[in-house]
Amino acid sequence: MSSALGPGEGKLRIQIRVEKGVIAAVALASTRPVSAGSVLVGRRLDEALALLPRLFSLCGVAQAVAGLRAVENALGLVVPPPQAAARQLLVTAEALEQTVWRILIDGPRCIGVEPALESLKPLRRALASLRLLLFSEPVWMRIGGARLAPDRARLAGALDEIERCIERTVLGRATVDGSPWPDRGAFETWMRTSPAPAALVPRWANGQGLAGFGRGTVEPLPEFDPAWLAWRLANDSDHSFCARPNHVGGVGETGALTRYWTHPLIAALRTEHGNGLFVRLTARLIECAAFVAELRNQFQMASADHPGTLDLRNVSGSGLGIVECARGRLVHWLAITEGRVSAYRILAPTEWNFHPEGPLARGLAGAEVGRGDRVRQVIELLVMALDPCVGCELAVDEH
Amino acid sequence: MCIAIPARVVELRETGALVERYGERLEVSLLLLEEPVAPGDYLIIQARAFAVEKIAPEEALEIQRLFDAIIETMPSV
Repeated sequence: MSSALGPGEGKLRIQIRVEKGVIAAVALASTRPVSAGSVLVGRRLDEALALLPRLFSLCGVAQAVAGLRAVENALGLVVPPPQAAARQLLVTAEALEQTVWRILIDGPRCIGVEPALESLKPLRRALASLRLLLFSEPVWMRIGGARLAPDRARLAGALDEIERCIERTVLGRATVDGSPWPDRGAFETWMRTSPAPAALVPRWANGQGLAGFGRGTVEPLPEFDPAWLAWRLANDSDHSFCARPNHVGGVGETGALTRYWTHPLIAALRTEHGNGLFVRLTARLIECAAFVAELRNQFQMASADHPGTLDLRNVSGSGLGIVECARGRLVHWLAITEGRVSAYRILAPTEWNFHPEGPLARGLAGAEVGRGDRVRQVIELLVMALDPCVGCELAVDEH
Repeated sequence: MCIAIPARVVELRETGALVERYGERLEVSLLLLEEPVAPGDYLIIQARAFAVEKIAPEEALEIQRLFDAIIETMPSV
């Protein structure tokens, strides 16, 4: 948690009032630059897309693919399946790195444990190698697809290394087979006894009686009606919807927990702990293992593809691009006039999860948090589990 | 949204660096970087504590210009 962030990045402000060990009031406010997409207006399409990963450097692949999908939908372009698989492989790789970051670095820091930075390096190296092993040119985010020439032998080696890293430094050997922890008993035994770093924070939360901490009534965000969402974003010139979105008058949650909402282990844990802290941490672990299996599936589908060059100088239209990234559902919408961006909106998952009526606010209201230093610690842990894409400033007023 | 404004290295420390962006100074770890870092280099920082990428100065300055434009569109805090 931070007390000051650089201008431009913005921040979340979380104000909590605690009375006799119970959270009596929660106020959430965001200064994130929801209008950041406006700097793309007036630019050529390829130029605008090239800027996305630089502007959003920590989830640049997901942002670039959301932008590509929006442009391609606007122009009625259908990307060949190998291109779609190669892009999705890169999105998954980025999401895996971010997920491991939460597990190895952010979670341990919340409970006062020094993060194991060195163990993250080989994984980062292997994940970073994937792009150049898939695409034979440095610019992979070409509209309609880039020249795809997978080096299958070296890609297979990189995926093996990624799987070894996850086994060795994150989850432990027994869990990475695409379907870890066959039931709740197996998971809880692993959580209590495993020396794997991933077991550390769930074990701590469980031991502290925090398994159900932050449980609330906010449901997973349903699938969007694309026509409705495109209309809503097209009419959001003041970015008020992107800042505080709603769906059919309500607020939903998006992220690892909602993606695994009906997974047998998550469903079993929800019966006891609702959508509390322990269930959120567990969903992230399930997803970490699942990402490894997804990388292998996408690798199988990413074969060679050599798309031609498109003339985009005079094209016009509008389109929506949706990507499930580490933090949840990311949406881009743009309008194109004569080959240039004439409007651009970005709806980020953080706006749902940290909405004043969203899962954090609703989960904290009325929760027992104890007193003193523990108050800040448990709230920071829940914030980490919900995973905002900007820093937070937490103010606790204790009575 | 995962926005990260490049930070300029002011001074090297034993295992990290003092960096600056928009007048704000941060102590960051360099342990995740694969390449050497020198004062004047530009870094992408994650979680306000870890440098995750070194980028070319011209690219950093271009990104900073974009952020200057974004800040102009934001309501005052």
